[in-house]
Amino acid sequence: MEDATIIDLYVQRNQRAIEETAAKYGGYCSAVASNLLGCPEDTEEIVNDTWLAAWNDIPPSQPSCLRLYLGRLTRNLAVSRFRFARSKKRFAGMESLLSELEEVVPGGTSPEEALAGKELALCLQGWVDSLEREERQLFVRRYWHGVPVKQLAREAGISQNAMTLRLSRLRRSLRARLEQEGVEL
Amino acid sequence: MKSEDIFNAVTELRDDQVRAGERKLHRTRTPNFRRIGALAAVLAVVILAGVAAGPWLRAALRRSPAQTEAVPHDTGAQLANTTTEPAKSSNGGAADTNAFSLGRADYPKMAPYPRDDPWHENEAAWEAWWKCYKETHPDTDYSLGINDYLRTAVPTLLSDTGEDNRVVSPLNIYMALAMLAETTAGESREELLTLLNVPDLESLRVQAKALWEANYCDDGRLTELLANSLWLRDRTVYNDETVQTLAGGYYASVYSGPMGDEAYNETLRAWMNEQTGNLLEDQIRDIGMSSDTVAALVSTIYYKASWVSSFSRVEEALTFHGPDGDTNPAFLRRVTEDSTLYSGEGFQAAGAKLDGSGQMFFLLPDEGVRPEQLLADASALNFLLSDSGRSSTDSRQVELTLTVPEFDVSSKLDLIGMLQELGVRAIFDPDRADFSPLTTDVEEPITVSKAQHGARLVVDEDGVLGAAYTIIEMTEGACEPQEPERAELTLDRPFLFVVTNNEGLPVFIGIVNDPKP
Repeated sequence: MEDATIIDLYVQRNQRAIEETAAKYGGYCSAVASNLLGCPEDTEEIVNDTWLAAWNDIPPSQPSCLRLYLGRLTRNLAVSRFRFARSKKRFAGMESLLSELEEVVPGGTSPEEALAGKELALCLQGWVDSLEREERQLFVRRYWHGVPVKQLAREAGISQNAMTLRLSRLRRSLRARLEQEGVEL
Repeated sequence: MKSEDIFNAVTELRDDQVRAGERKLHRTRTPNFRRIGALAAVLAVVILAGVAAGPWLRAALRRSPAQTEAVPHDTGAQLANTTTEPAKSSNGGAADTNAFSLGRADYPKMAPYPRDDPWHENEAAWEAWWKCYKETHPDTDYSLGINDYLRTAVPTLLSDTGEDNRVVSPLNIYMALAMLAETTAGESREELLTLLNVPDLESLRVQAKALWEANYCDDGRLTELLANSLWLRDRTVYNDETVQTLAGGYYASVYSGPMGDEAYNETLRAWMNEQTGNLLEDQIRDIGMSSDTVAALVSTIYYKASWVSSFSRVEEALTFHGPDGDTNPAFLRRVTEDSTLYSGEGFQAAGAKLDGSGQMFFLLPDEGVRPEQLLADASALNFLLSDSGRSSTDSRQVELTLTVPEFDVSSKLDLIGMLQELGVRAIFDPDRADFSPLTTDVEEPITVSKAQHGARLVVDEDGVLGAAYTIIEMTEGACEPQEPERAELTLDRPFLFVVTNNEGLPVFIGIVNDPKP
């Protein structure tokens, strides 16, 4: 079933919307959630929560790309879940992702001093646009889709260490951009 | 700032940026065949479409119906002598569409589509909208004979385009012919029922009402307004039952006045302009009833819908290869993943979803194939006319770069020759025509002296705006049967289009040949 037709089902409050979404994007959202959380039970729960979130949000939302819209919902739910259960140190994938991104964050900056969320998102988008195609692909693959470093290294045909280095260079470049944009260190 | 803030900002990356990370990393730098393939797809689809609209048309499309000078269906006015907002008349003056009115049709009032309210925060608004939508769109089957009608009528309606554009609304013509059938008897009625593919008048009434209800929508998301009217002569006595049937079963407003009188004609034009949102003023300007007109039936449709996935203007200059040479209209483009690309015999096609409605399908004939040739082929015709035809066409899911020119097409058709070609002849012949269900209070036999259809469709980055009318005029006295005029011209890369409702029924269909610089 085409995305537009599935979205129509949501708009009509037809519960088939969820069945069709699960059939078409269950695998995709599971992969996103699993990359972030690494725990099958939580993955399943997050994916189910994703369908519920979509049901509550469409309408009025009219996602132009249903798959990426669902992927975003999954990421948002995953980070909430992570925040909730952080003390238990359960989510290895998310933990390592956030730990890597910690490098990017200017240390000691209070939320008040930081860029507002929207400005930060725009700044990040501009930085991603400025990257060479392969670097852009690498960044999104690692930090949006949560693909493990090991797998990225295998795909690129380089060692895991070399891949870690490439990712580290990327993060430094992002940090430099954030500083340039006025984030105080 | 926390790393979570960065994580959240990453979540907000744009769709195109996220898509970039969907492909596996390359081991070595190699030529990007995928990109080359995408470019080929762009080039293929560029030729898919046809004409350009001037900036004023884009402005017209962006203007909401509420901002147009004549808003179709002033739903506040139901009866004669109530005040309505004056419509802009075809000669620039103000005309009161309540003048000469015996009764204005009562159109359904729909709850607004609560576009900006999250469902979980304003459940009541959504429930109200959905309840109203279901009430105004009862799930009545209208499929009886409709496919055969379309299959028979559409090739004729789209024939002999020459170098011109053509746009017609098969739905609008159906409603006008259904009303005409109500006013006829004997052979005249039989021929109309045969064309409409229904066994009897009762079935036609059920069918026409179901079609009307399935398509009428005015909830702020989709504006699809159908309207009918009956124009009577004040000195003639009519069969009240027939007039009531048209008013009740076909939502027809009824007027009575002195035929040939300029004020009466002015009201007719004002009503037509009002119902078509002034989109067809140029054509309606010339319409008027003469002193020997016994009655006129008018059916209109106004349609406005937005794309679900919007298009963007293409910045670089692209060329449209039209029959009159190359031109450079403004082009629109969008990239959608999970799009269906159809491949039929002699054509490729793709659709673009319209919010609250069906889709607009663009059908590009293969190089060297003319649209009219395609219409002679069952595969293309099936594709254009029904969802089942489309689902039986070979297709594959692709990421589609769809590039179409902005266009504005309109055409005016004399339907008499086409109706005769389609087997409707008796109503034009004074010796055979039977309009006794309408009136017997005439001195000369009644025949149909005018059957005219006008339509216009504008496509731009925001969506689709269209309008159509059909006017059928019945007069006393003989009418010379007309032979359909025929012409054949070799075209370069024109294309066909169809705008469908939710069930795939063509609301507008046409051929684009003539890009406008």
